[in-house]
Amino acid sequence: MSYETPCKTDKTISYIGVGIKKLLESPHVWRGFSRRSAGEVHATGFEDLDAHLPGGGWPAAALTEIIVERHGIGELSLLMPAMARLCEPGLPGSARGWIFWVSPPFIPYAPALSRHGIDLDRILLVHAPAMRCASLWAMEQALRAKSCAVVLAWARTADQTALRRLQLAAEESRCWTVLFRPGTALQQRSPAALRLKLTRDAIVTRVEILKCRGARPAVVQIRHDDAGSTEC
Amino acid sequence: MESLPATSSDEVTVITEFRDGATRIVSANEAAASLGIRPNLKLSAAFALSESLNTLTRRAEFEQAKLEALARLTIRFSSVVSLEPPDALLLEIGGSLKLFGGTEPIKEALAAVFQQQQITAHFCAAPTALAALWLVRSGGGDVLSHEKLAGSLGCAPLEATRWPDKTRALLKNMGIRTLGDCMRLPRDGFARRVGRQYLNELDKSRGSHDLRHEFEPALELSVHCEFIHETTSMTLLADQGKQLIARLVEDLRKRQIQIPGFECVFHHLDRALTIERMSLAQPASDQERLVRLFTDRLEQIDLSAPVVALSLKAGSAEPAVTSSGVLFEDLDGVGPEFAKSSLIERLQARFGMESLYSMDLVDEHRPEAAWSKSRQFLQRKRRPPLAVGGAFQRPLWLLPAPQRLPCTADNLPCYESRKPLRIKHGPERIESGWWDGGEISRDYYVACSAHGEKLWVFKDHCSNRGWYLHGFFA
Repeated sequence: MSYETPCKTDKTISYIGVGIKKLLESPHVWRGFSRRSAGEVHATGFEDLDAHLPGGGWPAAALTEIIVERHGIGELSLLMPAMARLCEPGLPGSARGWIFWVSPPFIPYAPALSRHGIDLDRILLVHAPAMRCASLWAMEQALRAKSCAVVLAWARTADQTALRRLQLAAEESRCWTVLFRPGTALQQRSPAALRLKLTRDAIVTRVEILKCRGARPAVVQIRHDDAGSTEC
Repeated sequence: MESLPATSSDEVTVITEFRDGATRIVSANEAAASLGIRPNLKLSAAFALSESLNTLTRRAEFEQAKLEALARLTIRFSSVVSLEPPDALLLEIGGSLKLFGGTEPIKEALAAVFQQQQITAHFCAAPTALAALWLVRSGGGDVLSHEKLAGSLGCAPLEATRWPDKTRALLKNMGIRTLGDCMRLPRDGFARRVGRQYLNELDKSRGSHDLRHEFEPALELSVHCEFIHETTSMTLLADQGKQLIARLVEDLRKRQIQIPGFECVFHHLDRALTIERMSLAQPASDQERLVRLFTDRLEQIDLSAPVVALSLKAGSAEPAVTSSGVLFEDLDGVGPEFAKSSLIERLQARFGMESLYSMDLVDEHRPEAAWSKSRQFLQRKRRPPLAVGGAFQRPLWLLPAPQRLPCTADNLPCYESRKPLRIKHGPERIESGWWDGGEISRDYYVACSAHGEKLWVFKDHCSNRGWYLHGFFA
């Protein structure tokens, strides 16, 4: 067959072997199916979603970008089980930091959060002014301070450089960072480790995995039964 | 003389005071003394000796201020300092002897402090405060034991006591020249003829109970610096601010206190002051933290006019609490509470106090009042489980204020669509607040919109019977 012996000698084979190895080790090469890079994760609490995410959960030390066209389509319920787990007593120090909300579009309602099992003492919320970089600045400060367990932020605009900085800061501080962005962000490339798009159809929240380090893009549907525990 | 504005040492300078019906010389500098101008000389007589005499009036308030400033400097040698106006400080060094290793090292360190302040000082250590005072005035040496005290004091002249001239004259007429002579007099006779208070002073100098007013540095800490020229340069302001903070921190360290925040006052030429209040999440005395807070805030400040002076004022202080550091900092991903509070400070400095908060539950039926903003960060609050609305759903997003929804012809609510909302659950009747003016009467429903959002809506029964959106089940 045509691919049978392109390299005739052992020497050439080994040379190509070294080359591929070198190539694979390069940080510029992204391998779709590698589970190696999954790192630490927070289980999402939704089995279907866990199955499609590398390592089986939210990347615990990276930037997750969630694109929501409209508010109130289940974007918070999606995060609640994992956040509640971070509030359980007896966790190691790295999970005891703030649950930091940066410029949320509405008021996160304390009674509902409390019922979801979120420890209200851990919540820190800032309304950054609408200036372009204020929210991103607040996020970066939070990440650099290494005192947050989760950073949830809402930003209208964020350029490539800013996202890249956030991603690096999230990696360095080992903090679960979630950035909510409007639909217009779909046009933009993103350095985030995980990129999702949420849509809602009646009782189903459709989670579209647009980009995911170490796994394939997929679509997961999460049912929100009124009897189910995903809602309060 | 050292408390008054500095003059050149070549000029013939004297300090004068009005006493006994004439302006008299209190103190003369070396140039004046070489011309024969002595203390207690009348000013007119002094002018006869030197025509180019430079006179300064004695200012008691300056002296007091200087003495207090010096007391603040010496407070790190002993926590018990008392002022002996016009010219002496008494330090209780018994408790500091071990730390400094004896009286000599303390005296050396004090001498260095005073030299830096360009103050001529004499020191004397004695078992009692009054004895030390009298001995230093008479030029005596240290007395370190009670047994030697009576002997040393005995040689001191009467002038060292600074008793009134009349009393001293009376004693002199009796042939009494030294304190020793006084002590040898019969006690009751001395008390009757000279005065009981002087007998008491003699007793105090030899160890009877001597109650003194302890010097307490003013609670308000403040540091100030003037600029030579007006400035708008942020770099210069930041630089000066850092130096001021360094001084403030030095002060805090000496007094072992920490502050919950400070006020930064920018002085302008003929304009109102710009005052910026900076508060820390937790009281601190840490220079790095204060500097960072200051520089962060400085970026945000919009100064209306050039600045001529800058001062920092710290209000209430509290005793410093120091905790031991973390040995293996990197083992724990999150640093100690310190990292958490420093984040709060940075955010507050940048966005203002109002925009940063934590949350708390309130036992209240009205949904908008069932939570509250809390600014007591880093404190664990004990809260009992609340039963309000127990069986009913509560949304994760709450609108800051209910939003009026348009209605269809048969009075059904719509949300961003022509189609009416589909009611899923409800009603949950909430009626409350008639006693405090915030009366509500609402029927809450969980409804689904055409776009798939799950909404928390209510029908108002109080005012206009309209439909409102109050939250999203996000």
